[in-house]
Amino acid sequence: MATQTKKNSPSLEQVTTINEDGSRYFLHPSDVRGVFTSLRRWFGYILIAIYVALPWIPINGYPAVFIDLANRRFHLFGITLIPQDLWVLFFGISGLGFLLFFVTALLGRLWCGWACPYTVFLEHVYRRIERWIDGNAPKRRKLDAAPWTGSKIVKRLIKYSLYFLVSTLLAHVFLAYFISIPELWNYMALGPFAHPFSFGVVAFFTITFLFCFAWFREQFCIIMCPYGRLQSVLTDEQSVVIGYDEKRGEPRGKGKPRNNLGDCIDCHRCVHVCPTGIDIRNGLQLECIGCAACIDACDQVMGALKLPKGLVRYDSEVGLERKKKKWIRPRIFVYGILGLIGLIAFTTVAFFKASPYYVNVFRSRGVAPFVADAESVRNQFEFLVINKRNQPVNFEVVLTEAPPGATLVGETERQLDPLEEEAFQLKVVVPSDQYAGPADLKFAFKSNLPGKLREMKESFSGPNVYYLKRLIEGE
Amino acid sequence: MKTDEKTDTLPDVKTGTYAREKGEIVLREHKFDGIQEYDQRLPNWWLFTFYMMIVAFLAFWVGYYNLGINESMSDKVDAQMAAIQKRRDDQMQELLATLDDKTLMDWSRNQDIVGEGKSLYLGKGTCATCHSADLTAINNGIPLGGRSLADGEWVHGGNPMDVFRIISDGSPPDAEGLNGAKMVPWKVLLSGQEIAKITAFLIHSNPNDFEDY
Repeated sequence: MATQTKKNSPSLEQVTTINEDGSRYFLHPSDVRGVFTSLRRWFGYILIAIYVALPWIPINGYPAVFIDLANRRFHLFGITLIPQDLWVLFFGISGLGFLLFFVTALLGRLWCGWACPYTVFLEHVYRRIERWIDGNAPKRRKLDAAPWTGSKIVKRLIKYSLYFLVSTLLAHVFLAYFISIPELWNYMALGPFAHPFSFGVVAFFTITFLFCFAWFREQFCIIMCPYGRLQSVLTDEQSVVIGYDEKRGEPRGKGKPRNNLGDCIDCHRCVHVCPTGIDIRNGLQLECIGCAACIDACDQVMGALKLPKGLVRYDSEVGLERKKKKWIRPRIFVYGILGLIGLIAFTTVAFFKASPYYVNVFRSRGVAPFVADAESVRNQFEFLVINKRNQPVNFEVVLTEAPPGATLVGETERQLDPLEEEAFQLKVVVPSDQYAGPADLKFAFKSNLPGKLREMKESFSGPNVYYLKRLIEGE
Repeated sequence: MKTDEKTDTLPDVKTGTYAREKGEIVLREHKFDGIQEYDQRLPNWWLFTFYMMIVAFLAFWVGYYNLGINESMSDKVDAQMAAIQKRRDDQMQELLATLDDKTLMDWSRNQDIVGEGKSLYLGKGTCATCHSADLTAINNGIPLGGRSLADGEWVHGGNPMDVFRIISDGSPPDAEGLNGAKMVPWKVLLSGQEIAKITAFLIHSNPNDFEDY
């Protein structure tokens, strides 16, 4: 465990949570109440509810999000993707990435403080448990320093048991995204040795959650998170971040006659509540996750002093300097447009991929493109159909555009079990006396499931008409 | 040049051991575009992961490349391929131990086996590509790459087992082939059972050639 050395006020030269000797300085942020804290907590609970609920909500017969690795079928909000469709994720993921850039350029690290799963679990679950068992910040600090008495052991046992319980629940929900709730229940009933790999995944995530949320905490955000490292290039002086109004606050200081002093009474509330241990009055720093705890802390103090709120507030660098604020900048357009392109492309493609089955047709390989004799001209095609639904589906392949006299030979009606895929061959046959040269073909796939009629273009190839005539007459 | 108030308020920063001894903030010696780096102590947990990676690297390097304790990916693939090959060879040996001319003749009189042999001939075996669907090796007047299997001539031996071996192992090494084209060994693609079924189909299609067996 970390050694507790007395720290000076946070500075710009050092990371508060790392001591001079490299050991960890374990933070105990003070309690804070206020508008942003309440909003953030509710928002966090909603996000946790969504995380837990998604595998339970069935859409089109599958959980809302079900990444079925075993069958290589990916069910997303009623759309089933197969590995052949996964290229659309390029647009989806890059679109979401640019959307995040867009939000960052506008509003700074809104993601980190409000929506990042790491913060949500840490702030609204694990820190709440710690607060409940160990008490407020001074009590927690005292307990950390206290010798291992009976009551400390009991408290630690209760705290880590609760941590473990929550971690293992979260890890099971995580696994449910990949194997679905009924299967998860089934695995749990069979015990850990029936599915050692899945059990290993859950065990790994349980331990990871425990390690991260019980001990590692803000170190991840400060040193490891790649998104955090991108901040300095994504934001500019117009981005709305959490800032301290120097013009109003300085010179800071305690003291009753405030004639020469600013509004900051140097009470250090903003420092004590900070979960990453910085002093926001030093300006925006890489450790800041935009959690707004310092805003609530300062507003409370300002309220008690009957001074206007907002000494620490959501504002841009230029706003804090009382200069003209600008929302519209080139980077807003670049990130916004790139994000929109990605998301529009993703939703459009996903919409077309939303059909309940996948079909593809191509000319058979390894055989002659056509066979022609006195009787007929024949082309062979291969079909691949994949049923994406959890119900059997009946297919019929028909020709909607074809040269005169063309018929489809073979078993055109097929039945596929749920998630089954089938490859089969069909021939297109044109009698020689009706043959009038190569032509366009269109196959349509009819099914008993609702959805668009799928059509696919191919071409019917054959010999020169006169050559075929001579061949037949010659025989 | 605009001066930054914040940096003006910083304590003096010095480089090297002088600063460290004085308890002042230490900067790295190098300087690019007027920017210098702090020389602060790294977190111990970070250093721990760094040293652990070195240990892990050594363990892997020694284990995989020096002692050969663990198989590499390519070794695993090679071992699996060898196991598959061995299983195929074993199956073939097992089949050859019981297979003889008489068995093949019996199979050629079994309609089910002949039917399977025919669909293999036309389908998976791709025999029809060179020998044509009607065994004449002629498609619409155009001669194909293979020899006719309907002309009563069996160049590499006319026993049922000879036919089996030709399909299984391909043309003998010293064979000239038809216009230089030789039969390839099909045992890499087909199982012994499948080859035997194709043989049964060929015998069934040429009843006169195999009367003596």
